[in-house]
Amino acid sequence: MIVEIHFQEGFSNEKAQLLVDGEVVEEFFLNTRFQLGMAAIKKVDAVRGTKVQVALPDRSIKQPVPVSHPYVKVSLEDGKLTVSPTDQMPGYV
Amino acid sequence: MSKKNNAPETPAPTLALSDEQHPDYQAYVYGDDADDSVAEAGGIGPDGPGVPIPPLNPIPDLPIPNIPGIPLRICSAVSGRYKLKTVLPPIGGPGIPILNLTSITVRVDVDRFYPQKRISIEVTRLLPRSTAHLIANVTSDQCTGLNRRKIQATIAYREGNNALIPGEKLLFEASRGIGIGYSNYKLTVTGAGTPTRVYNLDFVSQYFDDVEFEVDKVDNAGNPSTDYATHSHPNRPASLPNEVLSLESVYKRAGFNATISPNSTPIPATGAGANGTWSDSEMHNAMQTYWSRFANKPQWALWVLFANQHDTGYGLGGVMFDDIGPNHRQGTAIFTNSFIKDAPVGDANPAAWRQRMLFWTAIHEMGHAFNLAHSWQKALSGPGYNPWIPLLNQPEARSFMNYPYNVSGGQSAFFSNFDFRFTNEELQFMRHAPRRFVQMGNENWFSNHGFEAPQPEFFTGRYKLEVRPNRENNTYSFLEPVSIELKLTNTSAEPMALDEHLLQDGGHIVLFVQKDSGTVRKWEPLIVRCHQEHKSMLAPGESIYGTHLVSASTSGWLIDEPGFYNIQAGVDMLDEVVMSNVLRVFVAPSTDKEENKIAPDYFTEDVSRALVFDGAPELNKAMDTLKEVAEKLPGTPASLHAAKAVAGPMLKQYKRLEEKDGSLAVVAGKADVEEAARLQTAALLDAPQKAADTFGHIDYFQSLETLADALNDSGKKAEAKKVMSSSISTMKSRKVLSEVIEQAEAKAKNL
Repeated sequence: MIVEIHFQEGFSNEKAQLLVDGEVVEEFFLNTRFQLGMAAIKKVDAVRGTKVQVALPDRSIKQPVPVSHPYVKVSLEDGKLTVSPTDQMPGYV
Repeated sequence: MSKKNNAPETPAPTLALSDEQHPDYQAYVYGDDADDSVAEAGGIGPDGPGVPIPPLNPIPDLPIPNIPGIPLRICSAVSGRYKLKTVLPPIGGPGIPILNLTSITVRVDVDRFYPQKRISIEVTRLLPRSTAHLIANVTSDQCTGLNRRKIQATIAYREGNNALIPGEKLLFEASRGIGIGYSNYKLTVTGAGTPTRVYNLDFVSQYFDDVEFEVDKVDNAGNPSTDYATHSHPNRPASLPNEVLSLESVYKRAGFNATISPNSTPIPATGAGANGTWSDSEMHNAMQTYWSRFANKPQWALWVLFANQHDTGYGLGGVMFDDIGPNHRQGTAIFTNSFIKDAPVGDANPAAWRQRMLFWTAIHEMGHAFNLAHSWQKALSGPGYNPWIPLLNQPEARSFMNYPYNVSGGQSAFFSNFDFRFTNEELQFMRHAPRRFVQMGNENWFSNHGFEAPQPEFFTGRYKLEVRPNRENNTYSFLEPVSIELKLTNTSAEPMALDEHLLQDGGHIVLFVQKDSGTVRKWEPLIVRCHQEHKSMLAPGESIYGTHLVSASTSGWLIDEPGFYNIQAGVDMLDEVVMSNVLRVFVAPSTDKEENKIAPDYFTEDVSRALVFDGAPELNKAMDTLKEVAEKLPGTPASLHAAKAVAGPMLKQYKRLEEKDGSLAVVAGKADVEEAARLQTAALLDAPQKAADTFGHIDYFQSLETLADALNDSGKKAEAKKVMSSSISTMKSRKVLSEVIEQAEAKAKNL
């Protein structure tokens, strides 16, 4: 199952990592584009049971991402990552 | 199967409700001595509670019967844009501006659509460059008679140079003259310790600014409509008027005189590249190619693109893509093949839902171009992005700038009480914030939103700027182009680093020309040179120079008819504006019938260009006119300029853009140095003092150098030497700087 991780609000030149089963599979920088409220969309091919995590190494934050839904919204609020799985494709305008 | 749950029948919508028919439009106020308080701005805004403005029944059309003993206290709307009444300023002496360089725009916002109960004032002084902006909260709004209105306000926001318009309180008065309607508008500014200032105003428009939208569609984007019938979908506020909204009508109600450009262009889908979807960069390229008004400068104009899909994919419904390049917020896009076409399963009228979402998205993206942030981002701040005034996030706002599907209850809840308007806070920003924050192509996207600290003005006395004719007298003959010389001297005791092109490139100087007792007109150079800044040190007492033909500007001829003219310049040095003396010149009347005959053909834009560019072969009529001047008015200063311009293109292999086999090609013409030299030698060397007088030193000696180079390159070394020898001799007789003479001598030696 493909899970789309939508990095949304609160990112400003933030170094981020995507981990699958503990391994860093992608490293990137996040900047929220204000006119969309979105920084990046990353896709992970995960089967049930796969452990997916997003990390902000400069903040020593690591957060699990559920793979139960096709979409997961991730924002940085007050220094913490909020993760919200959803069945509805997030739309931006 | 029954279809009773489908779209309910509604009366056909009125195409566009007139302002007076719309329940949110306040056309009149009535006088009431007992209550001059002011209702909350904007009535019940879509963002929270407010005190509603009592609905007013429109009064019947005038004439209104005058009932003896009962004074009529009915005042029609005054909201809109005003400017300082045009009054010709007195002529100043040296060092005093020859014109009133201050313009004042007043925006009164107390009635019509969604009044914000604000008065804002924008003051711009050109020389020395300075601006001020203030916003005042209305504290009292009285109608004291038939179209006699008094509105008081307290200044709550200031930006820029306070000294341009000091004070704390405003009084705006509108009153009748002889007729029924308003004809006198006056603004009084008062404050403790500051003199009271009264400004007489002219009404400009009921709108706060004019804006033009150009809507282009990519050929695979379908045929999206830019209108929306408000009753086409059953989920709506019960009070929503039944009408057809358009892009213009929404922005007109926001306070802008919005028009749609007639220059719409169908755009081929190939612009999106091989992948068929659009990147921001591809859209930016398309904007540059297809938008008829594209320019890298601030302007009240916006490009709106309807395309199929963005590179991001189906999840992107639209984007204000223009946050790249030097001028942001000029272009927006709406994607028809995206999630905005996905009506919820079981929706009562999916077609209307889709059209509403498309329309909403277009207005939303255009709102970003006005520098509006999303409703939940209003308070966002950080390095380089701050709200223009402290703002609160409004995640539940029923605004074009909120995401309908993110409010409590989702899109259904949003549209059930969405009135198709912006919030009061958004309207205050759009109508009253410093215009550079709002205007497209001006302040960067999401920046201001906050505001800069006031620019301090510096008057250091470090420089002296002189405008001079570089000839003994200031009298010019009829048709003679007026060239002036600018001289900027370091009057400080320290060496100064200066861009050596400062006076010559046309980008740093401001120049005004005023015919005696006539209008003051700004000179805009026909040539502006963009070059890499190259600073060199200017020792104390040293000067740099520049020369410009000031008779003609991009707006036409500024010096043409006989009479006296005043000329004053300023130079923008980033941290300081230096003003010049006022140069007074006289243009003598014509003494020759032939001059008067040629004059109508001569004082044209094309002739001015041909003169400034030293010839323009493509401007055939202009070149013919100059030939006529050279031949029929021999010996006159105008004929010298004309001959130089006619000969200019012949000095080299002049390149022209020509159509060949259906495509354009650059074709180099044949030089005719011999004929050019004959014409220019006669013009420049037969009477060198006279020629140097009319061309000015810089242009004259440069022209001789160019002629000498062309002669030398074509093997006529002796003639080239002769030209330089004459040049040096004239320089010496006119006491030109020794270093300039030395350079000319060195050049002559190397020929």
